[in-house]
Amino acid sequence: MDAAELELVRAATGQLLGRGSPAGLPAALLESGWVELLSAEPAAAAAILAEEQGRTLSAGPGLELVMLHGAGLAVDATTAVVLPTVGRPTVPPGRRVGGRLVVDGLGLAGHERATTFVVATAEGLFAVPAAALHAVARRGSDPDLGLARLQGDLAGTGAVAVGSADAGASGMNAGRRFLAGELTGLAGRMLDDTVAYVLDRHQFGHPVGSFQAVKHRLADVRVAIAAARAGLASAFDDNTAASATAAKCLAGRAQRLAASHCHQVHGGIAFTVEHGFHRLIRRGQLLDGLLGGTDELTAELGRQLRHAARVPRTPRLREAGSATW
Amino acid sequence: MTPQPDPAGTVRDTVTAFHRWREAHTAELAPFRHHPTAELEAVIAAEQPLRRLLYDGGWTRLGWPEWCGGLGGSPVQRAAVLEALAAAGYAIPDVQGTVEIIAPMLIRFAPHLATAHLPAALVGEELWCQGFSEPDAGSDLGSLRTRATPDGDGFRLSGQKMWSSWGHVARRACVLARTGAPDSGYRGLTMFWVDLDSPGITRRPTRCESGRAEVAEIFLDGVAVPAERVIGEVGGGWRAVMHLMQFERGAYAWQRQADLHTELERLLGATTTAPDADRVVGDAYLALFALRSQCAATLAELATGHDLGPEISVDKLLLGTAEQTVADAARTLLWPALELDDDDLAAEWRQRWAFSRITTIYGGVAEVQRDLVAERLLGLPRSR
Repeated sequence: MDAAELELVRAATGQLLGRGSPAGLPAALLESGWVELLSAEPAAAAAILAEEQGRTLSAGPGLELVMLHGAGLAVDATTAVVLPTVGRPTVPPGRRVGGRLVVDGLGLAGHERATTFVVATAEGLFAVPAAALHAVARRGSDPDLGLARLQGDLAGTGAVAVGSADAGASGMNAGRRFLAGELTGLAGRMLDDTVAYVLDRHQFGHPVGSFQAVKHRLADVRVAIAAARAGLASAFDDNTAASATAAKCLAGRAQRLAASHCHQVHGGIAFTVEHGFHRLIRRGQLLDGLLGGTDELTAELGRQLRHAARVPRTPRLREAGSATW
Repeated sequence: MTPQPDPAGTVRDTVTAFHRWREAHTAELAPFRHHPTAELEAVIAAEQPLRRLLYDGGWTRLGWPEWCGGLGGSPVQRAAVLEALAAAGYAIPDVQGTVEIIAPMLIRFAPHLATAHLPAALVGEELWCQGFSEPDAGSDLGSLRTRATPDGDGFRLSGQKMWSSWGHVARRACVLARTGAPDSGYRGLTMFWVDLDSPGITRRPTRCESGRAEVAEIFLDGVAVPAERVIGEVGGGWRAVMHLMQFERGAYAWQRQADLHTELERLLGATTTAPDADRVVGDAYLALFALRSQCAATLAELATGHDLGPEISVDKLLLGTAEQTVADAARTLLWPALELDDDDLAAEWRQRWAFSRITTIYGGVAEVQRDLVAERLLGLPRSR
């Protein structure tokens, strides 16, 4: 796809997210042809939906859809995913105990639509009927995200093996890349809103955006966002767990820096509920925690590098034609 | 037959061929696993056999035009080769960076000078440096005062340059001087190609925190420079220096990240008692992953001949961050050996850490890069 086509998809995706309800969005996305795009151009499709979802603060289903797709499973409107709970990134939400499957994890907004949930365990992926899970809403710091704790204890016959542990790992990588895009979109939204504000807001007779202390904070945010975007492109190109994890960490850092600097240079106004900046902040906090928080994953990356005594060189250089001077 | 570079080959095939060549030259390559920590004169001498070897193999001629001593092909191929050298555990010759940074400007703005001098630089027979900064013109380069006065068919240059990396050991320098009125700012500047053994030039090395003289002052007292040594147009010096900066922030940054990956990897092999070693290594890796991801895209752009515009300041900031994050990681992981020991590992990292402090200053201080990002990428007003 060329840049113009990508821009069209981006605009259409943004509109879709602006209109849909969480439960209705998966069907709307499936009808829009987005899933076909995900198969044809996974990087573009995931990055566009992810960034738009982050930018528009939608509680969209993109994360679940790309995790299913990444795991090689069918993507439909009635299948959802049980995510690992926040704070324990390496503990799968499903556990085989004897012949049973014990489930304890998180559901995202719109989980009520699902008739089937996919649950990751150390042994692989299982499909379980929604009726077998008990959902308790978790308002937490970001009630708009519509999270729920999903729990169940199923006899083996109620759970159907649908994918290997490798498939689950692929789904996890796709999910981390999606969250990287969503966090980057969110950070970009914070930055854009803040740039507009500091151009408009005057103090000492000048726009506050003309003061170097303000400019340098926002420049650092811009650099962090550029790094996150470049890292995500690398991760799509490279398609490994390490690069997906690193991309999510860079995006988490960009989001964190944006939240801190953008809040500060807004002055008091962003402290008010009426302004709404707090909605961006709390979304960032929770998205950062999904599928492993930045701090946890950074240490995990370091542990893996030290264990292997190897530093991955990602991405590889792209092919280039003859030079033009 | 010894594998040779194919300028028409893919990046992947180039790297494969290079590794086969490398394996056939293991004995010759053996001494070049570490960056020499000695004074720069000794560094040049120590690295020269490696430069010669790479040149004779054709590898460092890849991606330079044939009319100035290259083999043709893409600079991306050469970048991949230098990286493959680092990935195999060898140190990319330090002086390679000077060619990567200065030669593209000669090729674009003074092809006759590239034809005349690049072959000798590629083979390692001569070394180049920059003569930009002055005592009163650092970040504010447009205010520099070294004068170039018309004299017969050429010019006479007078003034003082400083912070010239390799300045005391280089044979030639690209010198930025004022041809316009004293208040002409960056519009009144011209770039010259100056032989550093010319009459009227005095050089003085500057001893640095890293324990050696990394840079030099260059005093010019009526130095005669012929008209054919103007790089680009008279009054076009700013354009030339901005073009050069892209490569200092592009090709050179790529070379540095290739080296830094190797250095971090080596660090993982050292024993550590740091309680937060995992996080420290993770931080360092993320800085490298960010730099490399950005840089790979930049290299591809530069190879197509596009000017990169203000986005290149992002690369420069990511490079400084990566240099310092990796060096800081070493300081933490090697505590307290780095502070107490006198072995090679400690000495090497002490020097490297000290040098890393200048990486957010040379080639455009980080604060100016942030101004550029804020003004040219975010559209914020000029600072007051």
